[in-house]
Formats: sequence, structure tokens, C-alpha cells
Amino acid sequence: MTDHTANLFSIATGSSEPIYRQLVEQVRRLAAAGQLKPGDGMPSVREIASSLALNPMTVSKAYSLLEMDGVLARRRGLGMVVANFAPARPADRVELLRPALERAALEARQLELEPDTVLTLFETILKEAK
Amino acid sequence: MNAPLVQMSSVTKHFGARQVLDRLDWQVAPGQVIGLLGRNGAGKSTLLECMLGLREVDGGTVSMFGEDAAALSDGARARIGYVPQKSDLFDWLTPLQMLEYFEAMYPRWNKGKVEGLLSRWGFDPYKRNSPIKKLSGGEQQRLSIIRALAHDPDLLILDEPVSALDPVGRRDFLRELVDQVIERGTTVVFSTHILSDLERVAFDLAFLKDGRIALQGQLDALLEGARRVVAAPHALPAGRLQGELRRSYEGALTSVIVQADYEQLAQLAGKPGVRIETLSLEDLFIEMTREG
Amino acid sequence: MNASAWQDYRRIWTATTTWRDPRQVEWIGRIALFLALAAGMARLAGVLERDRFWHMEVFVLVGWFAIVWMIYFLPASVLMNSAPNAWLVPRQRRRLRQMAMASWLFMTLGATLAFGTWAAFPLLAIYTLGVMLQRAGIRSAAVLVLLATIWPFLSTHLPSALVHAIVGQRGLVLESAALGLAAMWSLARLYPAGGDRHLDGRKRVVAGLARFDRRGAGAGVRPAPSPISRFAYLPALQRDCRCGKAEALLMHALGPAGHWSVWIPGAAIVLLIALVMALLTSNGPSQGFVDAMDIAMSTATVMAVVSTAHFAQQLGRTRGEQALLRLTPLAGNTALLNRRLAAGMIKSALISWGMVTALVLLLAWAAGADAARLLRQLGLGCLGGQLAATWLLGDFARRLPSYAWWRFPVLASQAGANLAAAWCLARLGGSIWAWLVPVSVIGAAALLSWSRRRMLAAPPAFPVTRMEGSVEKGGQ
Repeated sequence: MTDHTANLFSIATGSSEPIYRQLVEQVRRLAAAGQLKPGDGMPSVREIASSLALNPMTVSKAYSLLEMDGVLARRRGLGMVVANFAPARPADRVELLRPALERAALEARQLELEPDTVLTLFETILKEAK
Repeated sequence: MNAPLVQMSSVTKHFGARQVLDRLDWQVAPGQVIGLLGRNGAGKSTLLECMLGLREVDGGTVSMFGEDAAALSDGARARIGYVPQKSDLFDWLTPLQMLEYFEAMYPRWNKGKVEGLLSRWGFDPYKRNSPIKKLSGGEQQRLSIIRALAHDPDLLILDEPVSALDPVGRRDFLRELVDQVIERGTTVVFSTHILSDLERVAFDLAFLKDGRIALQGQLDALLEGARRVVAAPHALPAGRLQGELRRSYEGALTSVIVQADYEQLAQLAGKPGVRIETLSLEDLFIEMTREG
Repeated sequence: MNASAWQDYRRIWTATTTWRDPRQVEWIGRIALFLALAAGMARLAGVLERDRFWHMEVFVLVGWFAIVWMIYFLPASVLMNSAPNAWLVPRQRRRLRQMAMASWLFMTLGATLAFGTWAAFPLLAIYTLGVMLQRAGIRSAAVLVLLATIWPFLSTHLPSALVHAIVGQRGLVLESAALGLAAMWSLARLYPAGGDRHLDGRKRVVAGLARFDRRGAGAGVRPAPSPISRFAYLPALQRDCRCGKAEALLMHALGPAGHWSVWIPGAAIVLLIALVMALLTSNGPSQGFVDAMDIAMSTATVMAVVSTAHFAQQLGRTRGEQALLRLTPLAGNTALLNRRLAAGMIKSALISWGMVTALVLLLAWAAGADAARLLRQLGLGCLGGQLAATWLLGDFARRLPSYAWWRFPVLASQAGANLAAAWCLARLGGSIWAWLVPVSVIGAAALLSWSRRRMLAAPPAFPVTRMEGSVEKGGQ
């Protein structure tokens, strides 16, 4: 059961994704990848805000969302901890790919490509990556 | 206590023939952290000066802490911290002397905070005892900030407070702002060009254009909600789009900035030849403050 | 007055007296103490009678206070009263106004006491008010000071009825009351409280104060261009740009203040005062005018020295511009820069001096002055020219000519030497003033030629004082 520090996070300014959303996505990704195990302690809002120079309200907004989604849970006296969740099934994990795939789909549509062509290309790339 | 801390109604101000503020309405609620954005010369400094009562307004009213800004009581003044763009800081005194002087003038003074800031921001004993005019621009600016924070103000107004600081200095300043100021619930209004700083620290934004607050709202909502729709004119529905903020024409294409309406966007996204782009804060700034 | 008010005053006082080197405050204090003790000793020795003794003590006390006030408190307090500070720092502005008013009263009443007669009050009030305002950077207050200083001279020339009315009992009471109100009003103006005029005029105020601070309030502070510059300086600038002559263009590094047109407002004021005196004087208008021209010439002598000091100050302020000029082809190689600059400065100084002297002489002649009078004025003018030439040129890379008050003995001894020489020559025939002319001209030429040679051998002048503190090579 590790206690994580604010070093867990990195945010990028200048993107079109608001910072709270970046934090949420990072936590989801880390949890899905198994780097955040159930019961691990999360850094406090104050710690994150101070370390990354963020408005605490932004951080607590991200935490509230994650709590609502069940990724994190609030334990009295311990602050935020990673919730007990079943290890992400492939079906859940693949959902994380959705934003990237949606972007690719948009581009494909702009280039006026047929779905089959695109899927073939994607398969090729996946096989290359192995 | 949700009465606005600062209330500006119908404020007008001109310099000669030039209209700088034009029937501007603005409110700042307690605890808000607002970033004020605008082009160079748009009047951000003038707006802040009018807000504080430093400049007389030609029309409209400004009130701070419920009092008329033109006649602030000593108590109200003690609750305000101001970092002007150009620091004028008794430059013949040393930092310690200057801080001691101001300590005597204010009822509240947080010596621990001052000491902490001085040591964290690199003011070693040598610098603390050299006349301020010998310090670099960045150091003078940091000192100006320390002085404004030292008396634990309830309202902190910053006018380009970090223009002379390097990236490390800026990050340190933001950290202190978060720790010492925002955590305490101080209301902060600051105008800056450095958008990345605003993204980190501000929760609300206000754009000053043509003498009025052209757009304001929560930073996250503005970013998430804003989209740029680029298409050939015939691909777009006739008339204004829902939540349209501005429309411009670039060659054969029309570019429209809209505040999101997901249904409408989903419809448009389906059409061929229509591109929907997300905007970064910089894009939003450029679009919102462009002439025309 | 409660304790915190006194604490405020003390803090403000301490903050302002470190505005310049605090050792100077201590020195002034020591000198004052010394004088006070000396008077005490003289009293004990019976040399000084009681009344005079007390007057002397009051005089020393008030004098000390006035000097510290003028040199330290005023400029510093005006600087402290920036718009944000005036508006947002609780109580500061109120205290500043209270202190200014109290000190003015103290100085004026104290001086009146030292003079021993109530009739001196209005005069002293105007004088102290003028000096205070001038020191705080308000240029037009010089009129007040001038008025007060020439009063003794003026009163002997005014119709006696008018003079009696002014210094009579009722007159004094009225004037005192009026002056009290005027002081309150103008001192409050010294410390504005925010507002457009305060914010926008701030630069001008800081520039006005910088004129008194030798080290300058930073290189960026410039006196605002006067409207005169539009008519005289700018056309000259355009013309010089077209002709492309190096000396003239280099001199533009000094800005409008280095141009002869800077004399015009001063000349206009002198003319105005002379006209007023001519009208008011009881000796007959033309005689009064000639008297005024006498004063004008004496003033011009001093002004010549002041203007050289002014050049030096301008050089000190325009280092940025000088650095840029140094990089242009105009600067030539190192020796050429100094040669051109020397030529330019001599030319500019000569034109200024020549104009003023000629103007005064012309006006005096037109008003009917006799040859002896004119010669005296010419003699004084030439003497002034020589004094001004003393430090006009030099090794600017190392130090700027400084016309600080402690250098005045040098100038005084020069003047003395000239007068002595003229007096000796006058034994041979001719008046002392007539001889003063060639003596001063030769003296000025010698000084200029010697300092020019030094300047040519020195490193390039621009940017000035960059080598401050480095040792000069050779025995110069």
C-alpha cells in the first residue's frame, strides 16, 4: 500500500483540455494500468495544488469527479485513497482509447476515407507495434 | 456573505477623445480568483485603477467592500493589497527598512509570512540590506508582491505582477499565491498576458474588449465549451449558430466561435467539409480580442 | 496628539532622511551644533549681546531644520506619495500633509523670530513656501523665491506709499492670513491623493525631483520637453539631420536641454522682471531698466555656470542614447568621437553664452546705459563665461564635470584671481571692468584649450562615466 505524492501528475497548459480533466484522465489511466492499486493513498488537494501551482478548487473538482465515478474514495482520517475496484477488464480499458479513436475517425471523415481502408491501416499499425 | 466584494456598474472612462471603458459592468464575489485578459492598451490597468478608486470615473459607480471606491475608509484600505505594474517602492530604502515602514502603517502584519517569503525568494542578508534601487527588476517585483501580501489583505489586485520574472520565479510566485493567498480564501484579481499561469491558478476569467467585459465565466467551462467551426459558407445553416461568439471570414471559409451546444455540434460534425476544432486558451484569447 | 501619530511621524521622518547619504544629515547636525555652541561661548565671553545671542540660536536651529527638511524630507516624501501609496496606505498622506504644514510654520515663524521683527513674516513665508515647492519639483515656484529675494532691492525703488501699505500693521495681518491659507492650499497640492492628474503627472514630478538629485533618479528620467522645444529645438534637429554634420548630431545626445533654446524661458522671465521693475521704479523707467540689467547680468554669470552643470547632468542621463550613438559610424574612431564632441560642446556653449550676453548688453544700451555701465556688464559676462568654461570639457568616460557646492571655492578663487589681475592692469590705465574682459577671455581660452587636449587624449566619452573609479594613465 503505497502513499503517492503529487509527482504522480503532470499537467500541460496551453492544451484545449482543462486541467481538471487532465488530472481525471491521468488518474483513470494509472488506475487502469495498475499503477494505482486499491487502498493506495492519494496526495491531498493541498499538496497537489501547492506542488503543481494549481488552484485548489480545480484539484478538488477533479477529485470529486473521480469519487463520483468510483475510482477514488474518501476515507475518514486518511484523505483520498484509491477505491476497491475490480481490475479493469479489457472491455473497460478499451474505453480509454475512445478519445484517440474518435479523433482519428474525425480525420478519416475529413479525408473522406472508407471505414474499411482505415481499419486495415489500423490493424497493420497494431501488428507492427508488437 | 455572498454580496459582491467589488461592484462596478456602468463605468465609463475616457482619456481625451478615446473611450477606454464604456458602460462596463463587473462584479467580483468573495473568494473568487479571476484572471483579467485583454490586448495591450485595452485598458486593463485603467480598469483596475478605477476599481481601486485611484482614477476617477467619468460615469457609473464603483464600490468596494460596500463602500464607494472614491471614499474608502482606513479599514477598507487595510484590507486591500495592490501590486501595480510599475513598482514604486521607496527605492532608496533597503527591503527591511521599507517593510518596517509599511508594517507600522497597517494594523495587521504577518511577520512570519514576510520572513518566509523573503527567504524562499532568495533575499539573503546582503540583499535585505542593500537599497532597493540596486536590486534587479525581478527582485523589485518580488519585493512589491511581498509587500502587498504582508498585511493579509482580503482582496488582492495584481497588475502584470510577474512580467519581470523568469519561469522559475513565476512558478514560485504561483505556488505562494496558491499556498498563502488562495488557501486562505482571499479574493484575487489579476491581469496578465501569461496564459499558462492563468490556466493553473485562475478559476474565472474575464475578457476586456472595447471598453466592456466581453466574456466572462469559469475557465474550465469556457475552455470545454468553446469550439471553432470552420466550413465553407454553404455548409453552415443560415443565420447565427447557437451560442455564437464571433464569426470571421478567411478566404473561402467561414470560421465561427461558438460556446458549445452539443446537439448542434453533433449535427454539424456529421456534415462533410465541416471541421470542428477545440480551442486552447491562447486561441480563445486571440479570437475574443481580435479586432472586427 | 496620540502616541501612534507621533510614531507615524517618526517613521516617516526616518524613512525620508535615508533618502540620501545619512552621513550628510549627521554632518549638518554637527555643524549646527558647533555654531550653536560657538554662539554660546561668544555670549559667555560677553562678545555677543543677549538679544543677538538668542536670535543666533534660533537661526541655527531653524537653519538646521530647514536644510534637512529641504534636502531630505521634501523630495523623499513626494516620492513616497505615489498614487497607489497615497490612496491605499492608510494615514500616510494625512500625516505627510500635517508634517509639511507644521514644518512650514516652524521654519517661517522661527526665521521671523530670528530676524526679530514681525514685518519679516510675509517675506519669509513667501520665501520658504517658494523654496519648499521648488525643492519638491514644482518649477514655477522659482517665481516666489525670486520675488522674496529681490524685495529689499525692489522696495527702495517702489513708490513709498505702496511700500508703507505693504509693511504697515494692517497690511501685515492681512498678508499673514492670506499666506497661511495659500500655504495650506499649496502644500496640500504637494501631496495629491490619486486621480488622473496624479497618475499621469507622476513622471514629470519624478523628473523634477531628479534635477536635484545628482545621481539622478535613474537613467530613464527625463525632464519633459517644453513647448519651446517645438519651435526651436525640433527644426534645428531636422536641419542637422539633413546636413549630417557630426558635431551637431552628437550633441543631440543631450536632448533639448543641450540646445541653446533652453535659455529662452529663463531669458523671457528675466525680461519680464526687468520690465516690471522699470515700470515700478521711482528713478525713472529707463534707469530702473538698466539697474535690472545689472542684476540680470550678475544672474547670467551664475546661470552660465549653472548651464554647464546642466549639460553635465544631461550627459549623465542619456547613457542609453550614447551607447547607441557610439555604435554608429558617426562616432568615428575613438579620438574622432572626442574631437567632435568637444567641438560641439564648445560651439553650443559659445552660442548660449554669446546670446545671453549680447541680449543683456543690447537691452541695457537701448535703455540708455552709459559706456562704463556697459563695460561693467560685459566684464561680468566674460567672467561668467570663463567660470562656465572651467569644467566644460574633460575625460567624460571617467567622470562628469561636477558643479557641486563644495567645488565653488575653486570657482571663487578663479574669479578672485581674475579680478586681482584686472585690478593690477587697471593701474596702468583703464577701468578694472574693461580689463576684466580680456583677462577673462584669455583665461577661458586657456582653460578650454588645456581641457580640450586632455579630452582628446582620453578614452571615447560615450557612454559617460563607464570607467568611473578606474585609474587614469599618466600624470593627468
